[in-house]
Amino acid sequence: MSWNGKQFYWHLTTRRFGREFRFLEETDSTNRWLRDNISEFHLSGSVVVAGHQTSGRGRYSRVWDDRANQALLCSVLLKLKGLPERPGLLSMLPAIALARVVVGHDSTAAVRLKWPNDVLIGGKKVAGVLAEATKHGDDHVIIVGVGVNVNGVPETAGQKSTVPGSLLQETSWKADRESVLAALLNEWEELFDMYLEGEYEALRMAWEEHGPDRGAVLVRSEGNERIEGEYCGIGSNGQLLLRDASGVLRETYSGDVTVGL
Amino acid sequence: MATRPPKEKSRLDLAEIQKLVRMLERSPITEFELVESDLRIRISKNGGYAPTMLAPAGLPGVPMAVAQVPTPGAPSAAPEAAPKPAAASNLIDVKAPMVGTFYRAPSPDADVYVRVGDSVEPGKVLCIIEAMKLMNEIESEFKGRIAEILIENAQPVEYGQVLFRIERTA
Repeated sequence: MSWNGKQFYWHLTTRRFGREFRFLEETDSTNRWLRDNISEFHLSGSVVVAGHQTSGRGRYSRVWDDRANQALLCSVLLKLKGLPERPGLLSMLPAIALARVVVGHDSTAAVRLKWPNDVLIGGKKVAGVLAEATKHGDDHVIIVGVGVNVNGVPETAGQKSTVPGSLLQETSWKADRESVLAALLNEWEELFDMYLEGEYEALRMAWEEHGPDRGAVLVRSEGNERIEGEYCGIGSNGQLLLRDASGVLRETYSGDVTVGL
Repeated sequence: MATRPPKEKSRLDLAEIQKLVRMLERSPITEFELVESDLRIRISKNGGYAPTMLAPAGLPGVPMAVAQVPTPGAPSAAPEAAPKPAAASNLIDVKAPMVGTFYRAPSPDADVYVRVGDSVEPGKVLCIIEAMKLMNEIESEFKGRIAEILIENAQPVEYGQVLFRIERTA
């Protein structure tokens, strides 16, 4: 099964996101491929999709397993003139976008964002994001890799902190990769335009709308470091705010929320 | 020592001070002090004195200008002072352009990007600052050698915090 371009463009309503597009049957990682071939793409929002990734990467090079054509595996290129302000927000946009898309197709779906940019439905992880920022000539480029389990879940769960799920299992939406990507890009472009306009507060609130309930007790882990505290929302850069047992407000920019959702 | 009666609303500018210094160089006078209302300037040819000026805060611009005046006839002070600022100006601070978590390597198992003593070229990645799973590569803008690494791996960094010092080479 390859890529149904007709289906994809039928649903795509963007001005630039997805207008430069490449489908690869198989690649090691779409992030890496896009980075190696960056000069072929000119628009912010250029997209590379792979049918299968042989070494899809999560954070710390954790492997993102996929069954060919079951998951939407893509990387989106964002170009900025200067060093991005509040860059962390940029990696949160696709998660917000996907949450909106899923709710739009199944209003009963229990969609939640797990900080910073995992999308959970009914407590199961259906999507994850990993982004890298670098310079290309005078441009600051950000490559945002997104993996969405559309019709199936990874065969081997490995050491994942969250149980994987798929759109097919967790929602009433009979989704295909092409419509999921088109809908994701439609929302994402809108959020990216808000980012370019400096509407950071609106984006922060958009994340919180699908985030945990305030006051929920969360655990954020990174290596051996563990912070447990009451969720107090996210900060203006997208950082997680937890109030620990001694009443101190702790801000974190990295790590994962491992307990509490 | 000499004083000059204050002129109405006059301020010494850099050109005037340089003129004073040149006059002093050619003259047998070894020390010169000038007081003009809230301004005092003192120039000495004897040993360790650089031209100094003591002035109350709020004199805009003047102290900076005086600091640039060449030291006349101060052979004992000049050679010592000269190499140090030259060396210091070769050391460039690499500052964090954003808030986040600092990593020296792309992953825990991977080799670090740079070590102290390594040569770097413009565009060479020095480290990553992570913010919300966005891995920002921080590149060197200069050709040089890593002189110092001022932060431990996986520590939080503030905006503008110095991460590395690079000794610049031509």
